[in-house]
Amino acid sequence: MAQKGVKNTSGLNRPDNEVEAKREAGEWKRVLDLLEPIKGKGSSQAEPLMNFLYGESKLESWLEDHQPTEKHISKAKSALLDVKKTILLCLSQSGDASGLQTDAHILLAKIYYASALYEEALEELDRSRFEQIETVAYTVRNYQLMAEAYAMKAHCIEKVGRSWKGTSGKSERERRLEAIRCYQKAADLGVSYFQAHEKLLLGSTPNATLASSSGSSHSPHPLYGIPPNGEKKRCSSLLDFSIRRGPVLLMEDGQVEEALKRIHWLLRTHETQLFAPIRLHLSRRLAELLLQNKWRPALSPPGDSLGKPKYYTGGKIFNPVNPWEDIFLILLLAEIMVVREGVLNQTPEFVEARKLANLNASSIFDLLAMAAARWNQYTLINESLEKALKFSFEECHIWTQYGLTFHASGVNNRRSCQTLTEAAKLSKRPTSLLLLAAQENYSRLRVNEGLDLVELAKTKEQGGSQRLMSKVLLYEGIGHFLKSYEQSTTQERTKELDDALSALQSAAELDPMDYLVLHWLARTYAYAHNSNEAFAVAVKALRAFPFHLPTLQLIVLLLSAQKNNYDALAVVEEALDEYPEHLGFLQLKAALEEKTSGPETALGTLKQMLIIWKQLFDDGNLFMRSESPESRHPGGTGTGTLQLPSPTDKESVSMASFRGGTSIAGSSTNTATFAGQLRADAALSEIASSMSVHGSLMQLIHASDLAWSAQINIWLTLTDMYLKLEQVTQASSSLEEAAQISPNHPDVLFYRGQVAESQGDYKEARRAYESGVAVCPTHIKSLQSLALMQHYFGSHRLAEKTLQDALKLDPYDYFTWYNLGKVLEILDENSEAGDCMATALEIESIVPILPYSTIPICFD
Amino acid sequence: MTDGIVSEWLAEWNNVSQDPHSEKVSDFAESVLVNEDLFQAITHVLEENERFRPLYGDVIATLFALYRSPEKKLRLFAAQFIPSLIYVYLHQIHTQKKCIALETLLRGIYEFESSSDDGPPTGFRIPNVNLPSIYHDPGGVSTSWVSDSDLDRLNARTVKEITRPTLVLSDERIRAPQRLPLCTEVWWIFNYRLPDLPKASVPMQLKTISKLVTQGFHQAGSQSRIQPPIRIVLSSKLLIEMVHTVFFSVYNGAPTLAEQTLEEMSLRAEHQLWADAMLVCNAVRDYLKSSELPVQVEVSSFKKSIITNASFRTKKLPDDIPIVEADNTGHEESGSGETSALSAGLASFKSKSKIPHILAKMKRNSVVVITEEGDVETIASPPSSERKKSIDATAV
Repeated sequence: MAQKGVKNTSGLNRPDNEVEAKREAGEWKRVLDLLEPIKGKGSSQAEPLMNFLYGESKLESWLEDHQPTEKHISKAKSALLDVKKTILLCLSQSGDASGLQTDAHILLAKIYYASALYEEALEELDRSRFEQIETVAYTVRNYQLMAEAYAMKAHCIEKVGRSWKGTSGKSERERRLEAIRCYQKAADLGVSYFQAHEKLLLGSTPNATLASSSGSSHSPHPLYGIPPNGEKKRCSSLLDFSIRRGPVLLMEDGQVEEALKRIHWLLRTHETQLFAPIRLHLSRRLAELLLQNKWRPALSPPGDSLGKPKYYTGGKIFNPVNPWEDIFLILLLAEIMVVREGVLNQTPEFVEARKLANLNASSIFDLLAMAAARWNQYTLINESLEKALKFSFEECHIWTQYGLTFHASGVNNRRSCQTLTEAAKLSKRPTSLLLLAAQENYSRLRVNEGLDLVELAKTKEQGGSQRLMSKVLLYEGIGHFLKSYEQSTTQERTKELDDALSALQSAAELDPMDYLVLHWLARTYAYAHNSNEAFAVAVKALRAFPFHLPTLQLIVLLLSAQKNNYDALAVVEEALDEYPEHLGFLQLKAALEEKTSGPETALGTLKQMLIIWKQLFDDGNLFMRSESPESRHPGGTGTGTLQLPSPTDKESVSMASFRGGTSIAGSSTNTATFAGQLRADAALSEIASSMSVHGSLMQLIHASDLAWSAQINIWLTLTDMYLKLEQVTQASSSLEEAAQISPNHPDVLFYRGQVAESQGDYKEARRAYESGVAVCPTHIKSLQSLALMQHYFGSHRLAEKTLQDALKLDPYDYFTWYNLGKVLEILDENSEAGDCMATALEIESIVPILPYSTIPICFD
Repeated sequence: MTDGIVSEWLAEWNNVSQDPHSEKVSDFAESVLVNEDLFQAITHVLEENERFRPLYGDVIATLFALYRSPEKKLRLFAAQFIPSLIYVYLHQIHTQKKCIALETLLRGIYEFESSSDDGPPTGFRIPNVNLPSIYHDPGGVSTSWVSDSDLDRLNARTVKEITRPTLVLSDERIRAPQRLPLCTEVWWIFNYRLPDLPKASVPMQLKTISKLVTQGFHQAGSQSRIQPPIRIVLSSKLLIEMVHTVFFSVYNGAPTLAEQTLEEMSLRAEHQLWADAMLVCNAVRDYLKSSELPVQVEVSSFKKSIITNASFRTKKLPDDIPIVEADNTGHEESGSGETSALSAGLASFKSKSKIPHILAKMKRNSVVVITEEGDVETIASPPSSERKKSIDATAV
């Protein structure tokens, strides 16, 4: 071939080598420059070679600027005439022996190909007899020419179709198989060409690398590094196309497995700079195919031989053993490529380039999301997308996905909220994103911020499809409901509840089938002490979703509020039949049993709760349970069956509500405490999330916290039962168990008082209650008992004051009213005392067995 | 019509199953697998089980038998009905009907597949791109991004393993918290079998999915109906599995219908505000949009001035960070020229030396210099300007 030719006819000495070197490197413009001065000066012997080189470099440099695509065809026809003449001249001058023939014919074919004269191109290729050449001098240029010849042949066969005489009489299938064969050859040779080219480049610029990195030289790695000269060279669109086209044709022929194998092998070749864009494309294709096809362990590619590309091999390298490893490996590598190629310029001249890069990037991230979601690996996508942000300014899709991954991986902090809001600004369907952000705000007790977002969502929805209007109203309702906790006076609280009610009612009108809307409506009615209405709505909610646990809990509480304890117990038993390990229902059961059949039965249930707690949490790795968030689905989580610290219940709220609730001690109805504790928890989560970059730690804190506070509650309930049974020793030992977990918990302090009281040590009791109030000034039970102590010690006015404080905190606590009545009676204010007693009676008749706040806040 | 086809099928199976080892079984398997009418008829019986009460029980029992049959094709045949079965199951538990046979069938499928050898993989290693693989060689340069989990992986184990949480069905009874996870697992198995299933069933599966996600959500005009059908309670994970089926369908026979179904699922995910399901729906939608583009992207020669992450050179730091010795103070006082000369000498020695740690050992009380193409970073600033000069000399 040409190589040989050049060496044999050594008519020109010094420039010859340089021309050869530039030719190998594909720097055609340089070749032209070198040829210019010696043109026509050489011996007549060298003339064909001169003509060849001249024509070749002219052609290649023209093609560099004008890839053979549709829009260049007509231009090519006129512009390449000259070149064609030169090459024809060369052909006529040189004999068969010169070795220029093959190359010249291929070049001619290239001209025809660029001019869209496919049949002529095929003829030229035939004449060149390139396929008969067995042993080629494997120089860079030869690889390239051979690869291009095969690529052209395959493409022309496809283009020309039936009319090609080379295949006359062959069926369409045979033609296609021929094309496939040629494409494969082209791909192999093409990749070999890339590798040879890369080697050449590295060899030619050793000085540059050495000088710049002062000794610690490294190869510019194509996956990570950059080309040494900073300039990006792309391979010709012809090779690019044919490498991609081969597998596609195989797929069309139904040979999916073969296609997969081919792509697989191509990807296993040693990385080169020219191959990188094609590699990215093939990676994406392969991942897509693997996601929907059967996977087989990859066969090793054929061993090293001349003319074949080099592959990554070796025993110690990561070799996927199942489809998922393969998919993730491919996608993670592709991710590195797209992240590196993302265009950072924001100037208008790069709009096209940026669009293309972003398109590539988002398709890789999409595939990654599809794969990772099925394995619950949201943190992984989150990390990947974070890298994409750098070049995704105002890219709606990337931002939306980024925001959603936070939520999906259970991270809830200021950052995740901000991301969602930002994504909503860019999105065409912002409502759901805004509502998610609102939900996160609610969970972190930033109710006002949440409500602002809901308001924004409302405006958007009014201007848009209104499809999610009922959801918007639902979140408005929930917002007002949560806000009612924050209010210290009853008036304000009622106002918020009224707002919540009206929003929820309109939501229910819009969507009467939505169990969540109905649930919240029922709950709000219950809080507003409208238990009949609440019951009716709750039943509707249950009909829409028979296993919605919070609704079931609500129904039990509503039944108990109607003093229908036996029915309530029946519902609890039924629920426990489905959820035998649900601590919340067990707690309800214990409370109901105490009323219906006495504390002894309740003791049994409480002991059962302790056993279940041990099974659920005490397996040495308390932290492991919530490592990845469970699937969001309403009505309980997967295998764990623990309602308690289910991460979907949005940690802090459910924790606080459980803690508040389980303590019959009474911080339960104590709304002020409730809000206060929530604040502390929210603050804690902020600290946690700022300390650790990934959200997992935050979850760990919450899961374990929840579990421990559940245990405290169980022990304290036990203490209460023992006290009722007048078994003081047992009571105090249960109390000690709780105190070991958290000695300064206000409920623990309160029960210290209770135990002391039952032992007749009123001073000690008073001290305990005082500490309780000191730890938590809004702890109503402590206030009530403290008042009683003050009353016993004769400070009646002080007792009255304390009780009135307690009333301000919660006027719906009948025990406060009763105590107040007693105190006023001693003070001889009989009519007031009577009023208080009457109020106490009235309230007592509508109070549920456990406060409504035992029901966790639910968004599902 | 439907009755006829199904009864015939039942009868034929009864006949064939008498002799499980004969060739008849594989013939039977072959014929039922390609029989589209039969597939539709059975789906019809399952989904309209009220109407086909007498047949329904037999169908469930037969499907169970087929799934456990050693003949692989029969198992595939039965697997085709998984979406319909799940639809019926979720529908029935909602209305609190007893459906023990159906529940047993689903549980049977799950337990059969999790104990079989060719079931779906239960875990995998997340590849570490900093280690060589069959597709790449990380080279000497690490990525410029090192995330927390990367560090975790590098610190603890080289490769992180992920396992699919197993659903433990120890009790005889399946209770409420296990039902949706069971459905998810069974659908996961269905997705695993998808490539082998007859493509003709694809549109039917999409219709079932569509019913699962949209039933009970009132469209305009349906308000006149007195009792709207119930909404089927789903979980986000089940929805994600369904999205995968839809993704498969796009490329296997029903692109238009698949995209329509995808839109419906996306609405459902938004309605439930399930971030994970929204994420996946968005991803598939966006992916399909981007793959509509022509395969051949024009190779444009990008200009050098485009800035990408690649434009920022990441370079491997030397194995040991060279530390420039701070000369003792007495020496310094004696003359700055000498110091700088010495340092320069040291530096030239260092650049030749391949054992910088030996140098490092000699040094105390020193300034850290990272030489990177002439950039100097001094971490501890030297006390005098003379010394600074000497460091500059080092860097050059």
